[in-house]
Amino acid sequence: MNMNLMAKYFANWEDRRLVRRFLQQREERVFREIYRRHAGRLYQLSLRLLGGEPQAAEEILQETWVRALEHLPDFQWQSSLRTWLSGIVVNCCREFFRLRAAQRNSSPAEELEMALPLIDHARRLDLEDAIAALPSGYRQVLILYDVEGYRHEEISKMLDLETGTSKSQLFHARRALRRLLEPSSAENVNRRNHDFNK
Amino acid sequence: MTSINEPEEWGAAEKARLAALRREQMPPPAAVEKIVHVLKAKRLIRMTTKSQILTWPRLMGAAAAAALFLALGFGLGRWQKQPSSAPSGQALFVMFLYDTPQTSGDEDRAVLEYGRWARTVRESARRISGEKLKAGGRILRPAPQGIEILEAASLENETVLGGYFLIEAENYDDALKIAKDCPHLKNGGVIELRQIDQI
Repeated sequence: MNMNLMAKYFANWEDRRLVRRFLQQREERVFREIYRRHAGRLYQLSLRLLGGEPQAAEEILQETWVRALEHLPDFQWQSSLRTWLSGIVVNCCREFFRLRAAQRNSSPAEELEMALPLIDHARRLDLEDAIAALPSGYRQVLILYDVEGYRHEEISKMLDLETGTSKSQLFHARRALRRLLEPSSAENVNRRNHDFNK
Repeated sequence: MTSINEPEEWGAAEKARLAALRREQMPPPAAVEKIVHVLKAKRLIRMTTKSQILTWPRLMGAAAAAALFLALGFGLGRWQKQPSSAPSGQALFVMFLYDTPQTSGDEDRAVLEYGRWARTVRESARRISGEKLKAGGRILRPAPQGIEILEAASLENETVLGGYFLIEAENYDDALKIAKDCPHLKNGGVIELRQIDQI
């Protein structure tokens, strides 16, 4: 067993112990232990999925814990606690995007247009900026696959997609990200907009 | 040609950049308080149970008592001095024995089994000692007002430290061989094996 697997094994073991303990009496101090173990990862995931909006990320984090604690007694440990919690973050973010798209009456492709003015085109984008600039659909798959390390089968369940759709989203996301990371020029930005709106 | 179902792979430099992305970022400290407040309002967590808090004045008293015990312990240690390190070529290991809700077996039989196993270890010219721990311990941790003392896990639904063995072995493989035969595993318990750092 390599060190990563062993670390995961013990992390999972500790999570089981804490969750069992929490469910006995729903004590605040046990919740805080669970929170301390996972909040950093969940907040970062939420922040990245949202393209860097700290206030919205905090709201997502709060909603994630509310839903998690409501459904914790039914959690079957078919995945690790972290994966389960991450799935809730992803769902909350998707609802957030749906709500925002409905409010703005915009399509996902138009989201990029809204994100673009925030980007300083005169400089080369750093990776975080470039990921944040991707349309939310591309961004979600890319973050879950390339950053968080989930498999397409897991992503398709989380995002309620066909596995093939997850793969094609990743294909487009990687291509778009590569272009965003090229030294910026008016030509690149125009080409990028053209690709996304096709 | 790259197909959509076979996403173009990242190059080594791109993979390295992705791997270097920050994986964790704690939310602002106020976030947890807000979340706890909301969870309480929704009755998803309840108020913290009464836990003993040692305030600084009480802590000073406790420190004085600890100093007294330390002095007594030092005297006792000199009186029944035991070698604290293994003979040359041998290393010391601790086996922490955890009981889980699945740990089974009646106590009388367990005492016989553990005794038999310990004799076998001793007969192979290795020193061994150990103790069973009583149920119900305390966890101490720093708190803003001093030191917070919490009840340790109970056996009903928890994994708890039930005892330990101190063993001598040539190396980790040798220690593992000894630990694998320990009846604790057969009874559903878990063993954590750690080498003592003999500085």
